[in-house]
Amino acid sequence: MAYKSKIRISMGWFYPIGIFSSYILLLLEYVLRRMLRQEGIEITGGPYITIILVALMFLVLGVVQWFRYRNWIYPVLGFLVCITTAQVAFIFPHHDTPEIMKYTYFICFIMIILFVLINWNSFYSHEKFELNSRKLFRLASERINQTDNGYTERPFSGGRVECTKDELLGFTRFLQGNYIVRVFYYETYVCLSFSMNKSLVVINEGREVSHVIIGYDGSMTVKVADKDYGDYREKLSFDKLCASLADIFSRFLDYYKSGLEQRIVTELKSAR
Amino acid sequence: MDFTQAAKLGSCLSKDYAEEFFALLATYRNISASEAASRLNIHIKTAQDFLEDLFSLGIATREEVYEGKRPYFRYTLAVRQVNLSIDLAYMFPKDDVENIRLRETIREKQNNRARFTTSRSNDYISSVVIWSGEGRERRERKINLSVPQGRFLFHLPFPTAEPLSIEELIVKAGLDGTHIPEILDIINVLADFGVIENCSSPL
Repeated sequence: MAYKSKIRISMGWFYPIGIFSSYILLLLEYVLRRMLRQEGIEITGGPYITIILVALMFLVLGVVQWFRYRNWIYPVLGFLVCITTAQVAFIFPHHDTPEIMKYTYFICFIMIILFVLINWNSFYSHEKFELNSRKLFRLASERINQTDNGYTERPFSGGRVECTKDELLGFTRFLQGNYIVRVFYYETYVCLSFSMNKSLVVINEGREVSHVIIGYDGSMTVKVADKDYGDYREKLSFDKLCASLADIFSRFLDYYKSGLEQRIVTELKSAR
Repeated sequence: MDFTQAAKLGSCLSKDYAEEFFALLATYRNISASEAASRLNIHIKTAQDFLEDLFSLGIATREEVYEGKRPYFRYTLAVRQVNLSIDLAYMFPKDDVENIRLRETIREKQNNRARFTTSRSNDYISSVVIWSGEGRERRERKINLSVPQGRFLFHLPFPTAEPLSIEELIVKAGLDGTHIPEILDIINVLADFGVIENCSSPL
């Protein structure tokens, strides 16, 4: 039986799917145009319909990503790519278009490269955080098969962990350094935030998204955001999910204390 | 004296003309509402209501008299001292009832339309907001919790988790026996709003 992930696919998957589909559409449009020419209908220019559809796809995905991640770089990039793609229709060889269109196309193309380079840190951090957050949620749901929902906004009391303040701070630095969680430091506790939805790059407060709070006294609380919980294909037993997340962080902390922090990365990679 | 009577007496005594009215009743052997009203320069209905309240509380007696065609009442002060005493003993929880209630198992109810706000220190719930009704009829009720209540609710089992007894939860929250009455009170309130469900017997 084929393995099916418990979490819905990431937004990023829509790009390769969309681009692959556009090649099929391009082929269809090319065949259709050739047939029409053979029938004596005069058709000029390139495959405009596919190009316009692909351009719109980038724009729509950019807007959808804005609503999901609340990160402005995605709609801006989507808009730039949309404009650039739309201009592809006018730069085909032997096409009777003004020379200026070719220049605007290359200007837009360079703008995209510059935009990505300038915002590389945001793109990279966001993608890594999201990827690892998905792995965390997958890991947490691995052994849960009960589907009785039970979502509540209340934080889950995840028991206590045994560690010193220095150990805890070292552990959080390791997790942030590996883009597993984004850490927010407070007077009496640290908040380890992770999210499959709102971008961790844009949040100002750890509690805006799913998080695990570990107090300097060792107390641990878990909160899963409703949007993240909604990304599971099935409504998994909520208390089990929270308990599982608490167990994961408690286990990761034990790995760190034992000097086996690489196991954290390995375990995350193994999450299916 | 029960609460309703005490409230009525308190309302009478709080009137700005109350002292003068009592002085009038003490001075006259008996007095009608219209005589008292004209003497105190208040509306006859106000005087009538005041005298009827005193009569219902047993502070004044009344006698129906006939002058011409219309009968009316004349009131006489029946006491020389007014005491306001309320017995609050019945409000204290009884130990045996409390012990039975502590064994009840509870948990949060599914789809309860409540929002819990956590304190800044993140170790107790500071308030619960409960919504009821739909559309324009939608109502919001916010309940601010005491710290022991908040600590207790912080450890309340999730809707699909195994329910725990109130006693276990009190221990889990690190509370002592002195907070039991207020814990039971918030359980009652939240159960009425459908936020908490009792999994052993009706609350």
